[in-house]
Amino acid sequence: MTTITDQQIDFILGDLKGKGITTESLLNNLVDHICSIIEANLPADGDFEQYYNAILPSFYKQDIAELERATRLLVKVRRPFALLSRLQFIALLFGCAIAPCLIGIILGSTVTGTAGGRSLGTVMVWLTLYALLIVLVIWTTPDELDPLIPRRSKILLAAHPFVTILPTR
Amino acid sequence: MYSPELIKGTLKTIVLKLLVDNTKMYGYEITQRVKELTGDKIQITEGALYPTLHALEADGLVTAEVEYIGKRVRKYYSLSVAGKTRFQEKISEMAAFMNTMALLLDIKPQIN
Repeated sequence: MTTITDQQIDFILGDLKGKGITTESLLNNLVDHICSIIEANLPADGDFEQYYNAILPSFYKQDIAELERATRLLVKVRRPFALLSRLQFIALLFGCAIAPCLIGIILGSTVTGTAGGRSLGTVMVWLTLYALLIVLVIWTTPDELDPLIPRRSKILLAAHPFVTILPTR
Repeated sequence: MYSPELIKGTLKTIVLKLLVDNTKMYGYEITQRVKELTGDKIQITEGALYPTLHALEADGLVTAEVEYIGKRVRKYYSLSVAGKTRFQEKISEMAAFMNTMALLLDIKPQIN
């Protein structure tokens, strides 16, 4: 059985920070967990670094930073309303943008003949076209140009934060 | 050992149950206790456990206190009052779900 030294704790802390674990509470949990495993399993004359490097990959699928991402997501995004595809989200966005414009157009047409009604209708038509243009830009931006919503990503609607974009690998 | 997909939906319930039975526990202790109780059939991964513990804490279902062991910081988790209530709901939900699955998959109860 090994007793972990302060230098070894600093080594683990530095390594985990360097690999993307930044939430202090998670970092402390992981350091304590790793120390507990090493103390329980590594013989007194065992190679600390070799053993550490051997056990660390069992914590993740692709990289240790995925624990950071999962923790942040679960803590921040509570009580989700809906998980939407990119297409559904853009349709929703367009719907939200266009709805007031449609109402304006209808209102404008009900007061036809008046100058105010006509100009309101014109403004609403332009606003609708503007909303459509924005949605088209989001929709058609290629992935290599770092789009706002990458293709194949999922969009989570929740209380806080309201919108979270979840890129898929 | 059971597949992670099967365990995924039950992790919160498992953690809450352990905290009902034990006054306070830390992460490594939880993983070891689950292995011991299930004869290694359920192994909770660190990648699943810690995000779940943080989410439970953020939801106010568990409370945490830290203990310093030299340079190490050990975080002990305990069940809050809200956590006890949530656990009862989870257990009822789980029991109903297991009954439904048993009916659906035509699983006969095993007598050991």
